[in-house]
Amino acid sequence: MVNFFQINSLEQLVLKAKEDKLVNEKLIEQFKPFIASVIQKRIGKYLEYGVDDELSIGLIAFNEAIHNYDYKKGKFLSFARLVIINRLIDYYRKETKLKTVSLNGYNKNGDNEENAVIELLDKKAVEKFLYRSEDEERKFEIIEYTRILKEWNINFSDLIKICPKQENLRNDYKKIAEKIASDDYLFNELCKTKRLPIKQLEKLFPIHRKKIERGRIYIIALVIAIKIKLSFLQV
Amino acid sequence: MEENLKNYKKAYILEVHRNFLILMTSDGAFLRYSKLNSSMYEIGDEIIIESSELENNGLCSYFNKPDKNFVLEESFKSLKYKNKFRLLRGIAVGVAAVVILTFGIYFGINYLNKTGYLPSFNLSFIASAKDKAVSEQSLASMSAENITSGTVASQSTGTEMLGAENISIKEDANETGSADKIAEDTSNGEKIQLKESFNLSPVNSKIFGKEIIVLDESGENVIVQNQNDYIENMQKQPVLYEGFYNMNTLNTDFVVDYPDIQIGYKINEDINKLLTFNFIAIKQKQLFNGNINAVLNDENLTNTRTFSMIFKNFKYGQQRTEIIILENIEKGFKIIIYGYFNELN
Repeated sequence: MVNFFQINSLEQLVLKAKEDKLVNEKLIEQFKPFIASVIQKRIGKYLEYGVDDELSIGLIAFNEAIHNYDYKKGKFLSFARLVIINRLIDYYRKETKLKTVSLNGYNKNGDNEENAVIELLDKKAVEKFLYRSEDEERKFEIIEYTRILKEWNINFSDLIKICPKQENLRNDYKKIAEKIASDDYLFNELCKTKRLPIKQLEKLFPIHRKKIERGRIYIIALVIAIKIKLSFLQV
Repeated sequence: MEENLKNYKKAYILEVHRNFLILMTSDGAFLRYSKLNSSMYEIGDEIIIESSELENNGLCSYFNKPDKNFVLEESFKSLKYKNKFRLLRGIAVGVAAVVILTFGIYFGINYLNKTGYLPSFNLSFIASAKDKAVSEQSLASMSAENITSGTVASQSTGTEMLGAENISIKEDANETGSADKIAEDTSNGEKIQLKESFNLSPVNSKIFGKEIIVLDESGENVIVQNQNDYIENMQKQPVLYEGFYNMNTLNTDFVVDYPDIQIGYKINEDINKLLTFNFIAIKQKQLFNGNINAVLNDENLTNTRTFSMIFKNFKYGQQRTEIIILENIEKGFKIIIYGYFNELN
């Protein structure tokens, strides 16, 4: 069961992960999608775990970032991003050294494709260490949100199916979620039973119980989003 | 400018997949977005999408291969379809109910009829009280008359009856007659009850007329050596029913008002006047053993002849028809039922 009041900041988690191997593994597992998205964005192609070496390099780099992180120097995600890219650069350099130069592999500029990638990564690697804090926070919130939803056995593809297309209905569900998040009794009932307290909700809102039941997963997802204070969600 | 801005919404990347992104908007909508090169983005990035993309996102769910329930939900989202479906469902339920009810009533009545729990329906008119002319008391006041002659009606073809003769009956009770030969004229395929001459005792002749024609189930005349003994034995049986009927109305079906055996009768007049009886056993699980006598009488209520029909083990559902050729003087009859109903084993 998730205790929303014990969600730590990312920096606190990283400090814990330095000492605790289990927390370290969990943190890496949690940030796998983020690591993949960082590398994909930089390289410009889709990658898969277990197939592409770049992602393995990224995981190793992330682990290194955890152990080498100093909270005084800035946000962790920015630091981790930098480490991942640097390690990728190192990887590509090693790869090009091992391979023989191919006459056919030259691009218009006279460089081979791999060198072009290294150059691109090099350029990107000059980014400032301190990222915009707002973006950092949001990324961490989303990663945490994903983790909590997973614990509730809710995935995004379910949410896409259930999410109402009509704005009015979405607003109705949002009102219900807001009520549950703000009411301790309703919220505790939800956490205890992992079910919506529909009887009470029927009395409070002029919505048919079947409608509420149909949007159960969506309402719970909104409750979680409100509780962890997802910054971009308007409530 | 502002209007243009309204057409756009901010969304944030939650997941990055090979061919699409999963986004969440600030108003809480989750959607799948496949228009961008997903590799160019990372989790948490902010992108701008058109508001119409949100509305059209329903199409995206097709590519998600939703389960059956979801498809049903989508189909019935429209109120129009919902109402049509409800109407069709109501009609189907109504028709099914009517059909089941109809079949149930039909088979139920059939079953109850067979088992005898329902009263049987008589197809003929029940004989009215007018046909019951005389009570038992009038029977006692009847005086014996000599019936000196009686002729048996001939066949419609006009052929002579075999053995048809004028009969004279002596009043002397001690005298016993000898039975003439019984003959049948079956040239037309019809059995005609021929007289059997014998001498009845005065008492019996009063009751039964000049003669008793005894018929068994085959419709053939039964030769009884001593009719007086026959009558004596017959009268030892309990009387189950007695009723008087006239024969004024022709070509009409009547039913004797006796509940345990359906007795229908009809008087036809063609060349000869015929009295037809139809007997049907309607008492379930019981057998009738006895005699049903039709005692014919003239206009003065004097008994002329008696047809005594023997019934042996007459069981439920069995039918029997007897046709009597009437004499001109015969104007009415009395039905007397002697016998027993035994349980069917």
